[in-house]
Parts: sequence; C-alpha cells; structure tokens
Amino acid sequence: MSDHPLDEWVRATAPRAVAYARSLLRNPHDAEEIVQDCYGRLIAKADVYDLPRDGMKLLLTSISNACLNLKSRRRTFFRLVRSDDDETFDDPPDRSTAKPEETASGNELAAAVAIALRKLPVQQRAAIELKSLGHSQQEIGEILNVTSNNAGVLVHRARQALAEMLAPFLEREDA
Amino acid sequence: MTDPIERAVRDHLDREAAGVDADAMFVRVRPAQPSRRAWLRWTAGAAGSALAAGVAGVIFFNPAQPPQLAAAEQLVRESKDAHSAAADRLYQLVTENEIPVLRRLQIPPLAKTYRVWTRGERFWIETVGDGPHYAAGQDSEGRIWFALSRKRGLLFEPGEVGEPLARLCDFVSLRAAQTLGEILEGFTMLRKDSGQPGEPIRIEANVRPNFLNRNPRFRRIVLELDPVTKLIQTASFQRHMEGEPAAALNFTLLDTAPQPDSVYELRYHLDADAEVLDRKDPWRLDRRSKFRDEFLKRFQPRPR
Repeated sequence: MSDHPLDEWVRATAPRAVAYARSLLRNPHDAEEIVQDCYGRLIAKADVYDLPRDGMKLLLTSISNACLNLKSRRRTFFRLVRSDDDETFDDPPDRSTAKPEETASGNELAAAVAIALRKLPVQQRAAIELKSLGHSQQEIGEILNVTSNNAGVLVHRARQALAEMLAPFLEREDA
Repeated sequence: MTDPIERAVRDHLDREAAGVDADAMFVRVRPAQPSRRAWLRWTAGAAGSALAAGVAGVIFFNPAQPPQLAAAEQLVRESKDAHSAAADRLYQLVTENEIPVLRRLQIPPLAKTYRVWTRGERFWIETVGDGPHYAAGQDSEGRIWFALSRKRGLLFEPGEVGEPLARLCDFVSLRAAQTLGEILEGFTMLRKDSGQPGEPIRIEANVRPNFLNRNPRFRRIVLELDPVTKLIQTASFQRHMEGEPAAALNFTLLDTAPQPDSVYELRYHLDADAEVLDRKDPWRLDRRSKFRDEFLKRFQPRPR
C-alpha cells in the first residue's frame, strides 16, 4: 500500500531505471547499488524537484553519470595496464541480459539484441536506449552531458552498428 | 515507433524492466529504521538535520558523521585544487614492501627510497641509496619510460608497458590531484590537528565501505597539508592490492622549484649516444622486451 506520492513514483520508475543501469554496467549488483544511490540523492532534494513530473529524466541523468563515472574510474585504474577499451575486462557479463529461454524458445532477435547492445561502447548504448525510450536528441544530450549534436552522432553510430549486427535477424522477421 | 532498431531495443528494455522487482528496490530506497517516519520527513525535506543524517546514512552507510568532516573535506578539496596546477613538486618516497604479496601479484618489489618529481599527470622517479639504480617516468604524451642506465632507455606507448611495470609506476607515482579526488569520493575524513596557527593540517582518511570502493587502491591515508598553500607536506598510504596490504608508502615534500619540461622526458636521463628501445623500430621490440624482463628479474628477491 502506498500513501506517499514518492512511494508510487519509486515503484513506477524502478523497473525502467534498474534495466537501464544494468544495460550500461552489465553487472546487476553494481547497477542496483547505483540506482539506489541515485534515488537517495534525488529524494534528498524532493523539496526542490517535482519528482513525479520530472523525476524520470533526472533519474536517468543521475544513473548515466554514475554509471559512466564508475566505468571511467575503473578504466583510469587500469589505464596503465591495458591500452584497449575492452569492456569485458572491467565488467563481468550480466548473464541475465541474454536469457537462455530466449534462445531456447527461438526468440533469436531478442537474444541478438541483447548481445549486440553489449558490443556497443557504453555512451552509444545509452544513447540508443534513451532514444528508444522516446527521448529527443536534445534530452539525450542533457542526460548524457554531451551536446545535442554529439547525442545525434551517438544515436546514429549506435543505430548503424546495431543495424549491421541485427540485419540477418531483422530480415528474417520481415520475411 | 517505426524504426525497427529502436523498436527492438525498446522491446529488449521492456523485457529487462519486466524482470525487475520494483518492490525490492523500493525497500532498498527507504531508510532502514525508523522507516515510515524517516521516509516521510526525508522525502518532504521538512527537517534539515534529520534529512542530512538520513541521506548520508543511505548513501554512505555511515550515519554518524562528525562535525569535523566538512572542514576536512573542504581542506582536501583545496589541496586538490592546489595540486591540479601544473607545478613541479619533489617528494621523497620511503616504502615498506609486503614482498610475498607483491611477488604473488607479479609486481617487482619496490626500492626502499625514491625521489619522485610530479607535475600533473607527469612524473619521474629515481631510486636512492643501495640497490639497483634506475629512473622512470611518464612524459607529456603519457608514455612510460625507463632509463636503465645513462646508455639505455626503454620507451612504451600508453598501455604498452605491461602489467608489472605499470603497477610499479602506479605505486610510486604520487598523482596527487587524482588521489585527493579519490579521497573526496570514497573516504571518510577527519581532522586531527588542533588548528593552531602555523600547525600543519593533519587529516586521516579511511575508505568508506561503499560499493564503489570494494577494491580500493588505499585503505587508509594520513595527510599533512601546509596550512597556507594546502600542498601535501607528507602523505602516508596503506596500499592494497586485491584486498591485501601490499606496501606502505610515505611521501615527504622536499622541493617545489620549477623544473624544465625536459626532465619528464626519457632523453634527459640518457647520454647523447644512448640506445632508446621503442616501438619505432620493430626489429628492436624483442630487445626491449628482453631488457624489460631482465630489469624485472633484478628486483626479484634471491632465494636463500
């Protein structure tokens, strides 16, 4: 039972927020910790923000910043060790992103999307996911702390890369 | 939504969201106890002090923040600003090795004493006293170099150096601004000085049990700052690797005289006719690896 407006807001936004953070970090535990942290920070300013109205965008901004910072911090530590930007190096894979039943049930496209998203650089992954959630280019720029043009480039590159990786599956779906 | 790619991504996110337990997150977001009252006060922003303690408790898992923390945090922030300037500082570094841990992690044991010059991300070090003598550093382009003698140097592009030497550099280079940034983000800070005029500022920093710091580079840091310039006068680090103490590192400021840019470059530490082994000459890559491996072997403790 919810008797406070923010209770409802948390319950309504949590699934989307956690899914987004998991996709960026590919580590469910870290993702949930970050989402919890971000909720805490936003709710602390509940008297400043209108969370039921603007909260989702603020939450996604906060989660994006925290996830990108965490990944960048890990890279900084290993910067002297590894030259490439191999994300598998610092992130254990999130096995939940490609569910066995998806493959077993023949939902090849779903499994392929999960795998293809994993292969994108994290900023591109965030950009295309935000786009798919209905955010405008300008909003994506604000959420990812990049210019609107840069956000457009990120979305474009992500879409191109995904189109290439998913082409066989999409053609099969169309057929 | 007509774009098939966006539709596929949206479907993926919807499936992921459907698997999230919203109630579990809701419970986590709520303060533990006394939940209902704290939640209401917390979200409404009605009681300032209660709110601050509650939020700090949720974020840092440390509800009892002493009043000195803000002052210490401010001083560390000022010190970070002071060290962010592109100025030269010379520190003496005295180390205490945990040789078994370093050996297991394939890190060459550290020399007892180093001189460490730093300027932003650049640094150069040289060993002092008994034992093998060498100089090493990171130049303005982020390349790591080792001057094994005045006649031979190894130069590695960023990321090319290999893990053991990279970790060695990570240990001995006091990248003050970066380290102070880590303290601000992940450590609990306490002032330990009395604040008397002229007395160095003393700050103890202990890593917070935060999820961002599961495997921190340092567990405990003790800083002495100049009360006027806020520069680090002394710094003691408990360096950890994979959760185990690996070394104690004690830095002491010796000099702040400006240095020419060239001191951070390999060539400065070599004679004019010295051999530089870098990636420019592919035929020499094997020789570079050979000298690097020999360099590492020189620091391995001899069996008794």
